[in-house]
Amino acid sequence: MSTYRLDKGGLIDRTQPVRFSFDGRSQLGFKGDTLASALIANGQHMVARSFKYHRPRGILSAGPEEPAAIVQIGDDPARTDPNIRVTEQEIYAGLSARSQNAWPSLEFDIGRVNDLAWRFLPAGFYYKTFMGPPFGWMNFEPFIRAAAGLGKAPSAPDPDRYEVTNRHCDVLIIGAGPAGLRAADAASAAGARVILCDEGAMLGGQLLSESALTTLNDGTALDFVTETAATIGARDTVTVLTRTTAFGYYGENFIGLWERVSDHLAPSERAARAPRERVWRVRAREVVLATGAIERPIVFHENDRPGIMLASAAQTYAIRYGVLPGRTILTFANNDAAWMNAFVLQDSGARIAGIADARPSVDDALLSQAAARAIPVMQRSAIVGTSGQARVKQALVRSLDSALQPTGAVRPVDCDLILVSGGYNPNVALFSQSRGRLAYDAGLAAFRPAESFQRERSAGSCNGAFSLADCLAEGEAAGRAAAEACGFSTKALAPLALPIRERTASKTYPLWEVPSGGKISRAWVDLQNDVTAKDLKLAVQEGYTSVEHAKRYTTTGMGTDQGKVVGINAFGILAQTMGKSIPEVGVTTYRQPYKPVTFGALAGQHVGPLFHPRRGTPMHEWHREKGAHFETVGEWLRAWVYPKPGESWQRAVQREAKAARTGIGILDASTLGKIDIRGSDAREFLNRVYTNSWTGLAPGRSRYGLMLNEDGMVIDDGVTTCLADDHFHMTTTTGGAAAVLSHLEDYLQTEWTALDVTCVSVTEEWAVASICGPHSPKLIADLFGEGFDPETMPFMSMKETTLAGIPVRLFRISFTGEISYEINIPADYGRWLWEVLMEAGAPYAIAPYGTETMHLLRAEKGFIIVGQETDRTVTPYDLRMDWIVSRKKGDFIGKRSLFRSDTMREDRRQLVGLLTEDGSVVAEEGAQIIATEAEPAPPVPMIGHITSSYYSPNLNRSIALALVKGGGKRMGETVYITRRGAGAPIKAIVAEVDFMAKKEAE
Amino acid sequence: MSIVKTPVARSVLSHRTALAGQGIALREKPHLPKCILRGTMKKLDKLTKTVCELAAPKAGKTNANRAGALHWIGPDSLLFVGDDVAAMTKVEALTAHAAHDFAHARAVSNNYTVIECSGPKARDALQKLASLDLHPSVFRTADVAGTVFGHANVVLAARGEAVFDIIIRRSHADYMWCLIANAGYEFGLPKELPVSGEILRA
Repeated sequence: MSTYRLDKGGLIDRTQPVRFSFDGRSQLGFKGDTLASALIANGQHMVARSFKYHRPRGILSAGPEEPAAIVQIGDDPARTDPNIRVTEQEIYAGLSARSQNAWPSLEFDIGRVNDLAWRFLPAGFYYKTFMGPPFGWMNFEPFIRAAAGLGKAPSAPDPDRYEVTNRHCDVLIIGAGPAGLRAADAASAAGARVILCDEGAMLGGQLLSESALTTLNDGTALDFVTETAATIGARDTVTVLTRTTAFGYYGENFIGLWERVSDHLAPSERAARAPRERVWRVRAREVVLATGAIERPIVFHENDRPGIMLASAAQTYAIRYGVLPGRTILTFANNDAAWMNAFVLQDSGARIAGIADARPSVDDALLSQAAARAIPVMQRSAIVGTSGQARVKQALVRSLDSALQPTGAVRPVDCDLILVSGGYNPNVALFSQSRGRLAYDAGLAAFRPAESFQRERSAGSCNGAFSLADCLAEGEAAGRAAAEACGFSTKALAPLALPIRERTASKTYPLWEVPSGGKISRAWVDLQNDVTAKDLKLAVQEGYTSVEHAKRYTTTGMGTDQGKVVGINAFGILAQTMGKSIPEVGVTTYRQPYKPVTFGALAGQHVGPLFHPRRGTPMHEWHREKGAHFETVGEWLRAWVYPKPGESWQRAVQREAKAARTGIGILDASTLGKIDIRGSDAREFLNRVYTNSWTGLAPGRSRYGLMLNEDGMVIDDGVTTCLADDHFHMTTTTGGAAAVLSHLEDYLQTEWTALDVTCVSVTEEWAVASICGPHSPKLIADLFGEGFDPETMPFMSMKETTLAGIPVRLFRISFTGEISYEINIPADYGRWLWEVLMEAGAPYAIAPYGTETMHLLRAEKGFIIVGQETDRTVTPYDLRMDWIVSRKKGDFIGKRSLFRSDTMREDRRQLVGLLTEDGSVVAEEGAQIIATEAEPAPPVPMIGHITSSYYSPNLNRSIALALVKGGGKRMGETVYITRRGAGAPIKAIVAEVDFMAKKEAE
Repeated sequence: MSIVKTPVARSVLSHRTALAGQGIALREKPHLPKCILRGTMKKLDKLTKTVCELAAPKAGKTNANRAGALHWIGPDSLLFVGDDVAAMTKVEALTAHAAHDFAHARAVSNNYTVIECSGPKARDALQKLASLDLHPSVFRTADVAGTVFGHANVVLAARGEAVFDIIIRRSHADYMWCLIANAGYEFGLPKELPVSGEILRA
């Protein structure tokens, strides 16, 4: 089939061809291929265009570090996934991949005109544009917005399931290369609970890319992987997760793992009940980081063409995927490992057109091996330019002088693949996230872990160990040490017979940038965001000398790849430009996530109807059946109004409010917070938490109370009933229930520990039906018999009785000012009670009313709602409820603050009623109140604001409650309610808050 | 009194039916008598021994007998859950105890309900919601913990190797039922959607 596929080799299944498409063109690969290996096998290196200049981008790497070869996967608008690295996406039948950032097509992309204008789009272009005169960004913004972003977000709701789960373990091992496998083997052999995760589709890491020459125990590296995987997989204390990225290392060894459960499968093959992706929230006692190393490219002129690849990646394509990434290969390196990569590729059938090595000298053994292989060697040389559009065709090589400046003749080398290797960076992202300290290792020319902050160990090449022997040994040691730290006793693993010819770990020769030797140099540092060495130098020139600033100014490493291959090259160039050493310049901070994680996975199962709980009362279904409209109060859904068919909610409120004062209204009050307070000191406790006195409250009697915070401000209110001398039933506002209980517990547990008092929330023990209206005593008599009429049972009292044998607490308390009863019944009987009341109340035209009507009814009586009339800046005196503060009793919460000079001021905003001159005009809640007929020029002196405003059907006019400066002394005064943009201020008269009393007096 | 029909008690999950998947089952244990006891452990121990013939459990533990289970839910808090309606007599006896002895009891039978999740896959399902370690070597039979599943507080009690009681506040029960069913979807439980679709205020 394809011309670049090798005849044999690779961990692909050649019996299973897989048809997929790229940009709509059908292509063939094999099961086990990534999109990258399949595309390369089909001769396609160019797969994307870059962000800023729309330059052709090829496949640089073979793993998660890939900066530029990112595509859009899937055509389904609900499931399409942008910015997917072709080096990670496994192919499946029917997979559709599309190039991003190119229009109308990858080859003929309009956006590449940006590239012609590159001189005018320097680093900091966006900053300069937006910081400049307004006409600049006004004109540029539409274009910048249109050009921004890479892939396209899905446009339809996500139909897939995602899941979050939690796990604890003794040892979490991140990375299943040689070090990780040995660590997992050693730790699990001792009996530790181990989680081993790896980003790849299979365990093995770099071992999967080892040539047949690398033998372990007389078998291949792959045999070793298979055997170890089988050994640890058989231990029931081990969880092995593949296709799983550790994306965040948080405090206390809390690590987020992101598992792609079914993204590698064709939709038809995905398990119906498995989530698409899963996040594992892992709490590990010990962590072993075996995250490997990332090869870095070399920065030289025109180093961004498709067909320029990391040397190790090319070996991976040949060995793991059976694909020759190029037929004529030029290698450009500064270390020995790249030479070995070239030899492996030659053994796989490629022609090596040459090896250019920037180092002053190269090991004789390598030179003689190259000579034996007839590979031309260009020592102390570098690539200074390349050509080729969709794929590199030729490189220009020149010698370097002692100052690393190009010198001598330009030597053109024809090739279809350039391997680059600038050394290896230990992959320290997670280590750094864990707050570990990094140190610069001059031998590696890279940063490596120096000092752990959490209970964590780095092992293998992420720790700067590059020989296979060292990786295996460090892994075993770390695994054992981690298990021992968890209290397990460990034994040494059986020793391994190592390969005779080892991977070499030569000293890396630092080479940050190769000068082009010409006038123009476009040497790319960040292949995704199009940042050149010149941009970095410009940043330094313009004063951005901190790495963090230079990063942001140039956007280096700020793409979706987060600069995994960029890192040290950028720091090196910055250091060179500033004439400093790399340690002096430092590194940018590694932050979570290591790699972009989908929102779906992070949200997990807590979406849609499971996003948050919605609480309903025992009568909830009845309200639904009757077509009630609901409002949310915290998590609660409360019946707001019960419109009849064809009735507007406004009309319904007026009807309900009328019924409650003329017949019987019934309200579901089950959501009110209820706290059972018990103990011999309960009375004293109430005296301390409320402003009024509870000393004389007899059993069976109720009292209204205001609760203050330490600042003397009202935080809650409610009626508390004495059940027995040492037993009280407190009610709180619906929204305040949890906070009040915490407030009470706080005092009991920290301040008043000697009090024999305990509190228990019984909010949901009782269903509460509140009935009010002139006929309600008759209904009560019909149901409960004699002894509950208002004469026998006074206002603010409670009797325990039964209804059909079910225990009931019957309260004479009111929130409307009408004759009222509150019937509390065990919640299981709530719906039954409600139906009994509706049936028995039918002769009295009983009408359910919702919270909107309830708010109106209480406003007619001037009763406050905490949170509506108060906002934690309002004292009981501000509410003109002086009667509720007992000065005679002992201390209570907020007392001291209540008598500060500021809270005693008489010109504080005080609660008053407002009657608009024109009773048909309803003022807007929140409207500001001024003292003058016309609104003066700003700043307008404001004397108050409206807190509640309604049209009252019982008074046949509008009513409002307001907080007005010195309001108590303004009775009868005229004030003006502003209505911005809606006409002249509304004239209103200050009145007492109890509008019903005023009506009755008339 | 003819206008009053025979009382009907509805448990909060009476609109749900028990679910079973492969290795996991979910049911409500409705109407169980429950009682919260608060006070000093020494006093509570005396009380529960007298009334329930159960010693106050140690931190994080459940003591159970044929009448019911006594869960430790805090340094000064115990939760008694009867195994059947007959245990109501125990709750009545506990709450009748004099309330001036640093040991106070309240009936909360209606305030909470109990959802039982059982089967060999129950731990895997619950682990999706619990940040606590539910490994069988760590969270063992007769262990109990107060924790948060999703956005609701629960008391999670291991009543057996593969039997868990989730004690949940009444109005959170439907949400919790659906959340656990969702966690067991992988093991064959059906999709259960919380009660929803109310008309919300304009």
